[in-house]
Amino acid sequence: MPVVYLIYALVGVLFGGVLSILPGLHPLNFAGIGVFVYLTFPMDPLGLALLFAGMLVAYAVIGTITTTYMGSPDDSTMYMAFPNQKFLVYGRGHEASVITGVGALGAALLLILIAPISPTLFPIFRKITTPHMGWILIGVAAYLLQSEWPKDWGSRAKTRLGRLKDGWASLSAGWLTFILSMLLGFIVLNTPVTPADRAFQNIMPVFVGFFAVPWVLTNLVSRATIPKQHIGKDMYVRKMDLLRGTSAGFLGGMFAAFEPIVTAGVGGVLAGHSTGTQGDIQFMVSGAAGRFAYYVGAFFLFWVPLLHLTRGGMAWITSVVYQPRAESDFWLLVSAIAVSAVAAFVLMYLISRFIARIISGFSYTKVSLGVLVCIIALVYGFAGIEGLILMTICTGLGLIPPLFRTRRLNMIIGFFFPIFLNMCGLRADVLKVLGVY
Amino acid sequence: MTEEQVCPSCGKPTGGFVPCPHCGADPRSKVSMRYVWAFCASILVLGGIFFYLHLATSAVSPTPIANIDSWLDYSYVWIEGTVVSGPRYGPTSFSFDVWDGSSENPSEATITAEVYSPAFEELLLENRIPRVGDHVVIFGQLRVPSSTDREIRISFPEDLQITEAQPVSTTISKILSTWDTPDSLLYRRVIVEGTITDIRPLSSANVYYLRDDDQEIQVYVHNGLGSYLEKRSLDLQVLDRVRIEAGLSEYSGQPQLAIARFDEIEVLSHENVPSVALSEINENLLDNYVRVSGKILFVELEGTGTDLEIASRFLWLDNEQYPKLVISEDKFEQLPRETRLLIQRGAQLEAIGKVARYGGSIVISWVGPQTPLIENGTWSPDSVENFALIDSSWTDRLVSLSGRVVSITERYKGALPPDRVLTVEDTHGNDVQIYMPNFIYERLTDPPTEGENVRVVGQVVDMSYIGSRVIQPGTMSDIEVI
Repeated sequence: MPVVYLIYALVGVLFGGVLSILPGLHPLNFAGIGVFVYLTFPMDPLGLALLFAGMLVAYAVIGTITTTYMGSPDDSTMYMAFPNQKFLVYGRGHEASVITGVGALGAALLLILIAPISPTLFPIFRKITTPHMGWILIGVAAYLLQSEWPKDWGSRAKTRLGRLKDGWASLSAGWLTFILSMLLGFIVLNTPVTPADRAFQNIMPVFVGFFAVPWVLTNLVSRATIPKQHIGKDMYVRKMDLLRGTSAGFLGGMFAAFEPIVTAGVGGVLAGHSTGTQGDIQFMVSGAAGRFAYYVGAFFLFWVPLLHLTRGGMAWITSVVYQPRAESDFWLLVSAIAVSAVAAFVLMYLISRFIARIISGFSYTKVSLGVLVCIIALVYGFAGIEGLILMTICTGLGLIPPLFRTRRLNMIIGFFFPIFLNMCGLRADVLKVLGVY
Repeated sequence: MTEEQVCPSCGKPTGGFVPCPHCGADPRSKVSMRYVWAFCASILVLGGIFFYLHLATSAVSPTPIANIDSWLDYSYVWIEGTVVSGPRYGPTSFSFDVWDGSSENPSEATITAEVYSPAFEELLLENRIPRVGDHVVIFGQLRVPSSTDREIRISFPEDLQITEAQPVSTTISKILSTWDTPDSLLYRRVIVEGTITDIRPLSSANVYYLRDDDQEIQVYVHNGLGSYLEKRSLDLQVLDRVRIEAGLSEYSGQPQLAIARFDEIEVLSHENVPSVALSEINENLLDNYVRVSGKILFVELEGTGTDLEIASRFLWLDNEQYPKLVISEDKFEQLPRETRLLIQRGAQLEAIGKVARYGGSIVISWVGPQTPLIENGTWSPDSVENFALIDSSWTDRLVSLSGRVVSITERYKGALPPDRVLTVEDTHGNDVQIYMPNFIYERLTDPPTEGENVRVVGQVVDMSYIGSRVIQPGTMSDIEVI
């Protein structure tokens, strides 16, 4: 009975919804466990794959709740974290959640609309770009480093030297972040720091240290308070902002989904620059659309007939138990994405309303502390004491960007730069110079 | 305070200011949630359409083999086509080649399919092994390290669907006459009859020659079939009349019958080969099969000339003047180990061969497959005490001699190790040269050195550029340090 597969996806939405509102967690952490359970107690592999699809959709839609209310972003939500938190301070946290949810729904619609042409379009893209992947990625890294502008510190220095120093302060910090992250990448990606039985979680402490912990620490230091939240009936946004944000985010997210290593945040910056995205609403919407396109789009690409592309952690985990076999499987996935996206939006709407009602009664400091404890417990659980040490080192790196107001994405491109070099055949030479080969 | 003066977004009083001075919301740009729910409904409708598409489409989309390139490395694809060679068995896997006609260049339209354990064992149990001529539909993972090195790996038995080809009865003549014509039986299953005339062992397979009405075709039997699947040797003898059901494949442009199971070969009868005395073998018997017997007087190894490998063995039977029985080394290696050990001087041998011409001489060429009759024995030619007696009139005679090695010289053979020439002196102070080709000398476990005494059995050869009296041993056992 094929409709059972849609139920699998809806169950995935429920699982994913729960996981999404726990800070620092990711469906990938549990998809691996799901595969282990599958290998022990075999079930329908297509059903499991669609359950994973539901989890991923839920994460992309509901996951922004933690960004809005708890200030616990990952690299894909960092892009929209500032506007969401601004809305929270204005008492519009629920509205911010709905706006981002609409952005994710818009991306879902675009993904569904391109499905019929995907089997023709994406194989051509892949055939064209595959031989050039190395330099494309290095170009992306170079663009991100070069496109950062000096920050305005609010007071203009009186001397030329002072102005020069101000101009280069954030840029230098950006380069420093990039170089230190790259060195870390050479070590961590070459020799896993976590114990061998947990090597598959080698990168998790890095990302938590880069993004989640510094954000929570910043919240703790700032001693912010959460005002009473107003739960309005409607959204107050320009329709053009929704359209522009959704299309820009979808473009960036799909670029990130298609290209290896590029994350949603990186794709978001590229798409934002190329489409002239501006204003809080556009950033929030494009961030949510990009996140949806990045996570769900990568999984979608895995199913596109004749494309044969495995991108993203969920697709790789799923590939252990299931490989899309026919065009009909792809249409089933598209259908499951549609149903899951709507279900996830409804769930997100309800959860957001609930949190908006109760959040002002909580101390933000206590919430942040709770989040920090959650994160530390999860990192210890998944990666052990070595993971905690790695997370601490990465937290030090992750604190540089907020202190010097430079891009946090430099950490991502720096950390993955060794893989870019590997694609160009240069990694071994650099490793020899660093003495870790 | 009226309701209009409260910001609908943040719920704070606006004092009539637009946009809201607290949160910046502009009530004029309202998007009702009703639109959002309608948006959700439209997504659900689209989802329903795609669900209908899922129900309506069931066909798989095979990838044309010619389109498989390195960018598809590690991809999972469907392949559909005809099995054109194999199966080739390994200890935990088997492979076969599939062709789908997607390119005019056959190699571009052909891919190797590999089935590994546990799918391998499960397919064996189900007796679902594709054979040449069968139509297959495969789902598996591609490995394409380069555009010319392509392979699809099958992980599950259900990923291999086989439609067995129905065999057609034909003759070798018809296969050959229609070859390269539109009526060719290439990649069809055929049933033919014929007589096994010879075997050509390869490193990975045995190629049998099947003849009928003066027409001959090759029969390919992969070594893995006997080693890993049937767990026995193929019980065939030269001149067996057989009926074979096999797939008609192609190798180097020539037709070849590919065997997938031993039971595809049915022995119908066996032809008795007449025994012919060695003294009666002459040109009149050229190309005839004969059964010969005699005592092995000498085993003479022949090298390849390009490396240190042995090309063939000449067996001298009964008399130095009789035609020699020649066995190529690959056929010799196919004999059971105990038989190989017995083939030495003094053994009594009965074998089947084909009278042929070799280097201007009449020889009996060993044919296979056969199990020769052999009995152990020892024999040495007459011993020569005084080397001075050996002169040019002794050429081609077998001699046995003992003496002291007084010197060893080397004759260089390009990049290969040199041949060795030993000067051996008898008790009278006369000497002979013992010529040891490199492929013999390099195989000696205890090569003689200067000052040692040796016993040598060999053939007197005419090598005036080495010396007037030259003896060449036939095998390693013909040289013994005493």
